[in-house]
Formats: sequence, C-alpha cells, structure tokens
Amino acid sequence: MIRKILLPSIFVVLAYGFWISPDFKEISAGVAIFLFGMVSLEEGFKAFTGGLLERLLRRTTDKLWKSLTFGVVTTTIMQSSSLVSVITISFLSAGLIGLASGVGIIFGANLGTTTGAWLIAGFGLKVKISAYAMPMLVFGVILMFQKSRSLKGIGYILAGLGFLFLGIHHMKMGFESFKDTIDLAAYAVPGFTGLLIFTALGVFATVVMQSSHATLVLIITALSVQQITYDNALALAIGANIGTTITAILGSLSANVEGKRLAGAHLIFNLVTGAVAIIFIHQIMFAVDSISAAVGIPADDYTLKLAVFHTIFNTLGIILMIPFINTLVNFLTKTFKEKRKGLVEPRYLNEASMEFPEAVLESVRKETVHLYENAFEVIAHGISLKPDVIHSKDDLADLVHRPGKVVPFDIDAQYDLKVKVLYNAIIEYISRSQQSMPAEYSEKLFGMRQAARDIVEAVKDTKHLQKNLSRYIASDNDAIRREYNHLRVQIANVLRQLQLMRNNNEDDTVLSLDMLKVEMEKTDASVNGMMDKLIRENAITAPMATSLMNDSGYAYDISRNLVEMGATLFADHDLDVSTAESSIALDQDEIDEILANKEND
Amino acid sequence: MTMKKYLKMMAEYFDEDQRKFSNKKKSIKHILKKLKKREKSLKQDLENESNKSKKKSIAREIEIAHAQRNKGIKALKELNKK
Repeated sequence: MIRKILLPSIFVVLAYGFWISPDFKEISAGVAIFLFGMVSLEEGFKAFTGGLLERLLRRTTDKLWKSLTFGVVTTTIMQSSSLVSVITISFLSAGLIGLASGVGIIFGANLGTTTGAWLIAGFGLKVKISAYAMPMLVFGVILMFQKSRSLKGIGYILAGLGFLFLGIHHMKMGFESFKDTIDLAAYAVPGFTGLLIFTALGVFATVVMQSSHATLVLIITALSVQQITYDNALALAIGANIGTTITAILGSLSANVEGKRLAGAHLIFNLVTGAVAIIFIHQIMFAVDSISAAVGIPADDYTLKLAVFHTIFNTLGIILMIPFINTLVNFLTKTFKEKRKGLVEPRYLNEASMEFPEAVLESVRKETVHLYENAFEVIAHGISLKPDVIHSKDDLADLVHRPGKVVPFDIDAQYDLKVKVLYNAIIEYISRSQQSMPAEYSEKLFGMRQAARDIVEAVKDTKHLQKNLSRYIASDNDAIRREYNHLRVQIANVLRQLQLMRNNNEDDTVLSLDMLKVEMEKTDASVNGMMDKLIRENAITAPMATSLMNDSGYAYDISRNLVEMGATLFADHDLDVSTAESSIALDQDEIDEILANKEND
Repeated sequence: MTMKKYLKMMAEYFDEDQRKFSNKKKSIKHILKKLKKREKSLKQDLENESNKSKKKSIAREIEIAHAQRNKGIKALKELNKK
C-alpha cells in the first residue's frame, strides 16, 4: 500500500514545490542532472568492463593494502563509491575475488569518495564549472555515437562528467537565489540534538537519491551560501556516509551469501565510523581546525573544512577497522551462513552476477565446472572406477590385465540428481543473460552452453555403455574382458588429462588434447580390426561382438564429447591465448595424417 | 620513445582490430616458444625411456607437438604478411 502511494506522493510534493519556488525547481533539476551524469558515468565505465577493469581487479586485490588502494583509486577516478561497491559485490558473487579483498576495496572506496568533496569544495565552487560542462557534453555526445566500444565508453564518461558539472552549477545557482527569499539557516538546530537530527536527514537524503556524492554536493553548495550551519553540515555528511550503504544492501539482495557478507561489512564499517564521528565530534572538529590552519585553509572557508572533516573521519574509520578486518570477516561468515546445499543446486548463478559480462561468463564457467565435477563422478562410477584411481598416478593400462570389479551404481538416479538440475539451471541462466551481452561474450557463452551439452551427452552415453560393460569386465572370457577394459582405460585417460588441465599444469593445455584425439581415433580403428580377428578365432561370440561394436562407439562419443568440452571449459583464461591455441590445435585431417604416418611406419 | 611509437600505441588502443591483430601475434609467439621447449623435453624423455610402448607414445607426442608448431609458424607468417 505504502509503495503504491509513495511515488505519486513524491511527484505531487515536487510539483507543488516547483510551482511555488523556481529556486527549488532549479536545485531539484541540478540534483536530477547530477544523478543523470552519474548514470552516464557508470555506463561509460561499464564499457571498459570485460577487460581492463577485471584485469586490474584480479591483479590488485591479492593483498589488503592493494585492495585498499584499489578502492581509493577507482572511486577517485569513477567518482562513485556505489559503482565500485556494486562491481565488487558482483565479482565477489561470481567468485572472482575473496571476501577479505572485497572488504578492503569497500574500505578504500569510503576514503576514495572523500575526494569528491575536495573536488567540489576546492574546484567546483571557485571556478565557473558550467564553462567546462558544455564542451564535455558536446565532445561526449559525439563520441557516444561512434562504433568503437572504447570511444563510446569515453563518450559516456565525458558526457557524464559534463552533466555532473552542469548539475553542480544548477544547484549552486538555485541555492544562491534561494538565499534571498528563504533563510534555511534559521532552521538550524544547535547542540547534540541537531547533530542527531541532521545525521538522520543525511541518511534519508542519501537513501532517496542513492548517492552520497549527490548529498555531499548539496551539503557543500548549501554550506557555501550559508543556507546551513557548519555544524549541521558535518552531521549531514556523517548521515550521507551511513546512507550510502543502501546501494550495497540493495545490490546484495540478489547476490549470493558472499555478496550479503560484503554489504554487511559495508554497513558495519559506515555505522562504526558514523558512531565514532558523532561521539568524538568536538575532538574531530578540533583536528579539522588544526589541520586546516596547518595547510593554510582560512578559518571561515567552511566548505573546504567540510572536505577535511570528511577525509579525517573516513581515515579514522579505516585506521580503527583495519586491525579487526579478520574478526569482521569471521563474524560475517558466521552470521550469514551458506545454506547447506546438496551437490544438486547451482552455486554460482545469481542475479547480482548478471550486471557485468565478465561476471556472467565466470559464473557460467564455474557452474559448468561444477556440472563437470558431478558428471566426472557419474562417468567414473559408470565405468566401474573409483574417482581416486583417476586422480592417482597409477598406470591405467594395468587395468586391462586385471579382472574388473563392478561398482554397483544407479546412473539414471544420479543423472537426475546431480546433472540434469544443474544443466537446466545453466541453460536458463545463459538464455536470460544473453540478451544484454556484447557479441564477443555471446559467442563465449554459446561455447559454454555447448560444453554443458557435451558433458550431459557424455553422461548419457556412459549410461548406455554401463549395461554391457558391467557384465563383461567381470566375464571369464579373457578376450571380451580385455576389450572392455581397453574402453575403460580410454575414457579414464581422457578424464585424467582433463583433470590435469583443470589444475592448470603448464604443459597440459588445449593443445595436449590433440594427443587424446589421436589415441581415440587409433583405439576406434583398432577395435574394429581386433573384433574381426577375435570372431575369426572364436575368442568372442557374435552377440559379444555386436555389443562391443556399439559400445566402442559409445566410448568414442564419450571421449570426443569430453575432449570438446575440455577445449572450451579448461582453455586458458587469457582470451587471446585461448583463441591462438585453438587456431594451432590440429583439425581432423591433420590428425588423420598423423595416424596414416604411424600406419606406414 | 619517439612520437611515432606513441602514435602507434594510441592508434592500436583505439583501433580494436589492430589491437586484436597484435595480441594474436603475441599469443602465437608465446605458444610457439612453449611448444619448442616441450618438443625438446620430449626428445630428452625419448632418449631416456627404455619401455617400447612408452617410447612409441612419446614419439607420437613429439610428432603432434611438431605438427602444431609447424601450423603455428605458418599462421604467424600469414599474419606477418598482412
């Protein structure tokens, strides 16, 4: 009910405000233009995700000081801690970074956001900022219409900055003329009550605008024309810092448990920092005065002093919280417990990861690896081998000479439980996220979908193979037992090689799959020759021979599907290297040529 | 660095096709280096191996690595021509 009437009520109040006060209209338009600028800026930076940002994120978050610096620098450049926190949640949910790194970035982002106050107080109010806005908008819009993604991104960033500046200009103009009609400073509340009331107002304004930056600009512009008192402005800034966590909280609603933990860290950090600032407000104000005097800021330049205050209390928060970062991570891990999921539920597919192409791709890749892990067990048991044997370094060829021990295994039930559910989830997720993906990512996603399909096909073929295999590997007939054991060895070899590739062994790349392809073709050809010989020598019966013929086909298909899956799923993370590797990998004709050479030898 | 090099770098950055092209060349060179090293180590393994069937398998691996390397060299030559 409240939700239904909230938006129309806001519209009515705003419309009434615009009608009675043109200055209020100008200030509101300034806020709207400023927020639009932020949206445009975010759009621009999104154009650079899928490369630069991810590479930076991976390389610069392995140590706490690095994640802190990353948070500070990116927020300073992007001028949006919200964007940084949403990206961080998205990447954390996709498993690209760890919780401790995420917390470090969020702490850093809090410090980075203070640079905004410096820019506006030190530059925005003293220079005719709208003069910079116009050329930025013109150049930005021209670039926005370019074909190249990078140029388009730069266009959005320029236009975004232009709108930010234009918004600030309108807010400033609005407040300047507002000053002549109404004196907001008359509503100033002194003392501790005022501090609490204005902190709450700051929280409210930031929750509504979803941007502490916009609130801070409003505070600074209002302060510059003495529409609010310095004390109340400080309280509003504290409130804005607490209110900004709402973006992260909203972003984490659709994230997995890791994202929720990070939003929790963000909230705790900003609440603690806010509480410390409120309790020690006089001491911090004294520090602001001393530092301002030391760096030559005039005692009556309250806007710059607000920037100093903002920086001091966020730095204080970081200094206070850093020693407890591990305690915080442990506390959050205990508070937000991961639901005990069986093997059957998707682990990485969540709404929060759908924001950025790279995160979608990584989520799908990890979920397909999860699908493969389950399929690995089903296939291994299906060919009556324990997964440990495949993981070990034992010579698999020894299997051929040993009588096999059949592992009882209901492959149908396991397929429904461990494979089908995940496969369905992957297909659904890909279909939903594909609409908003750039072309090169769509192609990659298509490859992932094919890899998932290959896995499922391999499991299905194992089901067909299992029936005769479990009968013949325990047979007294040496010949048929040996042939079926050969098939087991062939599949086990493929599984082992894929395992090595998964573990990122330097020598085991997509190119090493060519050896498996050659082996597969060789086995397939030799089974046919061997079968004729065995029938002629009466070593196997005709029904045995037809079973073997069908089942060697299944074994070939299982291996082929797994090899093709491996080429996609376990390819090098570097897109350029993986593309080059697949261009060098041998095609069917080249493999046939190698096999022909061997026959001639 | 000369102005010409800066301009080339800028042009590469803004021209996606050019950037992809030069990354492709770099990646192939990197793989060729790895393949050469692998071929050399496999040859060493072949000399030290006494088991006949394992020797055969290593020889096949050498042949595959060699074929891949030839394919890579050919691809690199084609790229250099462009």
